[in-house]
Amino acid sequence: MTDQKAYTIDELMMAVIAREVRDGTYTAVGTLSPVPAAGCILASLTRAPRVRLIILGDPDTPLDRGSSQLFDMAQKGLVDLFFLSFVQLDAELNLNLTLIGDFKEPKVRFPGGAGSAMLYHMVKRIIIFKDSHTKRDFVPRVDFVTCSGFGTRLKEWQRPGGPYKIITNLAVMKIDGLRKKVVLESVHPGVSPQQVVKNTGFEIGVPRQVPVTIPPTQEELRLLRTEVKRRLARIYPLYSRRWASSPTT
Amino acid sequence: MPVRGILGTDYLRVQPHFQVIKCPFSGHDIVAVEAITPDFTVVHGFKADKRGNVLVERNSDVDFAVKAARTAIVTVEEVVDELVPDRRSRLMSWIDFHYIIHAPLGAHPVGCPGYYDLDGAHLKKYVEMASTDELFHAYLEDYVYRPSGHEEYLNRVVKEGWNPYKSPWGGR
Repeated sequence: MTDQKAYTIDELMMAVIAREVRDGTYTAVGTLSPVPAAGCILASLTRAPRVRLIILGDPDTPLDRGSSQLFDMAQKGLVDLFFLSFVQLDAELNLNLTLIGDFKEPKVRFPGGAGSAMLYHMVKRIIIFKDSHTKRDFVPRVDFVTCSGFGTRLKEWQRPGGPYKIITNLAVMKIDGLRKKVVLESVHPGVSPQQVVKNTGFEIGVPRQVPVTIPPTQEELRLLRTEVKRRLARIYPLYSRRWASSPTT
Repeated sequence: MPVRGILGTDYLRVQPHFQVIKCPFSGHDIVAVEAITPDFTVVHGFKADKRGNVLVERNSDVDFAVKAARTAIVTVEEVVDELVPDRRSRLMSWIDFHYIIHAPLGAHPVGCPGYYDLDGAHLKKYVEMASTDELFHAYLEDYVYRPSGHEEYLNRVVKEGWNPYKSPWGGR
């Protein structure tokens, strides 16, 4: 067993994300996403050396026409994996990145969704990530639908992609598209399934046996703290500096 | 312009520039987004030649804004005899632009990669002063209306502490 204090929660999430990257695919990471970016870089150094990785904000980006180039790839259905976070997520798998309160008189206004309303439909697998997991984050119904989930008119839409998994600081959840349900896949070391259920504002499926999330291996941790951190510093200098001094869980 | 995705979101409830139409080819619902046609688009590039060709940041996203505008203006750090793209830049043709303005340090308060870093203190001040109409008018008075021109504007922001010679790419 790996010692629980041997890695941070971010490092655990990076390792979980790295396992989801498929070799040879177009995989993209948006802005304000240092943890997915690190996970994808880790994957490119290990299990997915031929991944076609696009990280927005990367000074060495392979793009030469800006983010609109990535959006065009997504419109074609070319992108396999993308990452979105949220302010609120609800039982229908709608994401809110826009505001809290009423649209006309919001209590809080956020920067907004950028291309996420489109990407949520067009990228084959969307991994939803969040470094907190409370009833304020996981709500019965979002205040504003920035990205639409299962919805009611799914059959009429051309929708090649959608939500695939949710990764938080407590657990990994998978999305059962057929049953339109969120199902607990694994709980992070030290977290109980009941704790996840208690902190989620809608009903989720809990299998009888819920495995513990596989922590990062020694080799993954070594890569994360050397090569991955070095490359991430060019994209997220502030995050990388904080990473160096962040306390372990 | 037709855009796949977006269906089922609240944008369609609050954003009149997005409308759901039937795709004439597939018969599926699709979102149509109304075109934006700015009177002017102003962008900043690295270098221009005498003909009006421009080197911009390689991964620049400005093309669609330039092409949408009735009048497109580009400001540049340098005017040179010959343009040579490197791994950080690419060429845009003179045909895209109506006016070229030689304006060194013209990207302030944001940075120009390879030339100078952004002015974090000024951007912070801008964000604060953009929070109310009154403060914003004071900002415009200080930095837009009162300076006699770009040089006076630059003198002022340098006096306020901006160091334009710190480049994130370590010189060019």
